[in-house]
Amino acid sequence: MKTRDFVVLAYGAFGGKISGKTNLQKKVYFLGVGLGMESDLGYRPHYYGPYSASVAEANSELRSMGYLSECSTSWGSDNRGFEIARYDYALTEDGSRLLERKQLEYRDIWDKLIAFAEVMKSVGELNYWELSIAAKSYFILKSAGAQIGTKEIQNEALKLGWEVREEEIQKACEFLERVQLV
Amino acid sequence: MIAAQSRTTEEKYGKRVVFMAEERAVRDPIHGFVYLRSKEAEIVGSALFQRLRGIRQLAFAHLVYPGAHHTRFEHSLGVCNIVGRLAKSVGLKTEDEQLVRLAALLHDIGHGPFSHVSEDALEIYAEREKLGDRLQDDQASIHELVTQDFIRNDPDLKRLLGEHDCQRIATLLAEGYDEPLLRSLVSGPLDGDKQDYLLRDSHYCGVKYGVFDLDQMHRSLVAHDPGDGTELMISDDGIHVLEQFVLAKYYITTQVYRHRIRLITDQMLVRAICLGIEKDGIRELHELYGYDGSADFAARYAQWDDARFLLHFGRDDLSGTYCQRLLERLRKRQLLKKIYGKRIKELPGNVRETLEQISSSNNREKRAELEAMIHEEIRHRLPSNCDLGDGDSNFVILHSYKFKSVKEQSRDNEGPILVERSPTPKTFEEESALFHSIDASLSEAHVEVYAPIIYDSPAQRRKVLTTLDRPITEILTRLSSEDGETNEDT
Repeated sequence: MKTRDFVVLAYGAFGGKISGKTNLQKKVYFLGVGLGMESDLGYRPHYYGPYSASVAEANSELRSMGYLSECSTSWGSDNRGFEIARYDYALTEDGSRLLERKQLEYRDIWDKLIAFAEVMKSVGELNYWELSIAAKSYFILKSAGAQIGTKEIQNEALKLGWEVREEEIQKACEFLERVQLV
Repeated sequence: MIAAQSRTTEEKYGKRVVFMAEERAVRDPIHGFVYLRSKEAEIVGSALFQRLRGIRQLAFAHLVYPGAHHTRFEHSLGVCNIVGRLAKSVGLKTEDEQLVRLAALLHDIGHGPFSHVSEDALEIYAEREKLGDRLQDDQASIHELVTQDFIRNDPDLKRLLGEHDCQRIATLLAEGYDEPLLRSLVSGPLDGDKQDYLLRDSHYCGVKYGVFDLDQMHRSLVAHDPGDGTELMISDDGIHVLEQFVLAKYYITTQVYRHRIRLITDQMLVRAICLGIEKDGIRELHELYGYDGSADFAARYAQWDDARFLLHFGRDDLSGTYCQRLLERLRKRQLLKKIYGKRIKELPGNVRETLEQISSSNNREKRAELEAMIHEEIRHRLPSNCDLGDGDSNFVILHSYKFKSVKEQSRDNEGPILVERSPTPKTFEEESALFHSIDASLSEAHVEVYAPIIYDSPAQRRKVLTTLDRPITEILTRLSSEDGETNEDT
């Protein structure tokens, strides 16, 4: 399965819209983990969080072919005067028709993917920051290879330069438990 | 070309480098002197390496930029030089330094005539059924397999390096080792290959697009281990030179590598090969690109370079064949003309996927069908005073391509460029205020048609382009949409 097709299905699973590139990366990552396909999608576990150049490229291709619309929202400027923007993506009409074709083409995967996305949503829609913490917590838990508590995760995170509160890790772990990744 | 030098290694490289008994220095317009160690100089002297003198770095780019006659030979020396400098500056141990220098020197050894054009032909005509599990992961491209075969099996290389080192070099270039630092020096977003070709291609093309501050960049590159392996990163004071490097890559891609004429000449060459094999039945051409992993193939492939290709397949007794006619056109610079161009997103949604992949070998029948229809349309609509040249639908080329946005140029498939930060690195895109603010949406996919039309004036050219725009769009829409519906039904 092409990464681009998986990304199209991921948009479908989240109502045709995903706000922010980090959010896109993490949502596709967890869908990939849920379906056991994260390495096929080009994700590598890393200290800067799971990131797939293939997913970023697929998103860019979909944008360049007119299947996705992109809307940038200015979040002001940083201390050097450069604009900070968030990019929101949504399937266009053509993109929605492409999604329909892909749903038929990959019926089995689509069924599993939508089911997993529903579980993700049932936890409460996590924002990009919360998903990032969940992804990093998952990385630490997997690296530890054993059950560790939220305090230990927080300490490990700090060693990697991530300052996260214990309650944020708690929420991330709840998410990971609900989607049955831990 | 190569002159013995009397300077000691210590004078040139500093104390860390092991003294070598004999070294050679090669004049290079980009790097001044490129210093080769004795074994490297012997490799350079081998027949396999000397072949690279005959393979131009940018194929027929000299038809646009007359100075662009540089070859894979000097590029390979340049990459060896850069990687050697990088290896020293990040403090690699001697054994690793030697390994990455050799890998850099040999990284393009598998190139065939006209560089990337041969890669396309190999992808089309490789006998995959004979390759077994060598293509199992679906990642390796055929030209990479040719490179590995040469490094692992060439008798001269085996004699000079020993079998063990040949295997290590081939493995490093193919997939790297567990230590990502070594791999990132020869293949990654900051590798020596990119650093050399940006500067070298700019120099020989006579453009300034690919220029960046190499010395500052090297001063800023660091090897850093944040806890899960040492990687090549840029230090905080290197952000701006890295911005310059990424912008250089973007500009030279748009202005040189994706130049309209260069796209046309590359496509003419690929078409000459395909027609030569399929319509003209030129056996040697098929043997040249029918990669089967055998020693015979490697021995044959190593005999070819640009000049031999042009002379052999453009020779008189092949006169009148498709292949010879296209090569003759290239030789005389009678190029096909671009008669149609669209961004793929301007065409209907259900045809875009097919059109985006129309140049891939899987779509050859569909592509030929579309080209025949476009040819008919041109014949009917062309003004009487406008010539269709060779007048054959095989000389109408439908081609699609894409290029990355400026922001995406800072990445490759290995991942993003990292900036050294305490306690953990950050990605370059996060840390560069300039790139953080650039709109990433400029990545574009295009579809174009080239044909052997001869115009008698610019006004006539404009008229023909206008006349053909709508009917070609309709052809692309009609045939590809049937394909889209077929997919939907399945």
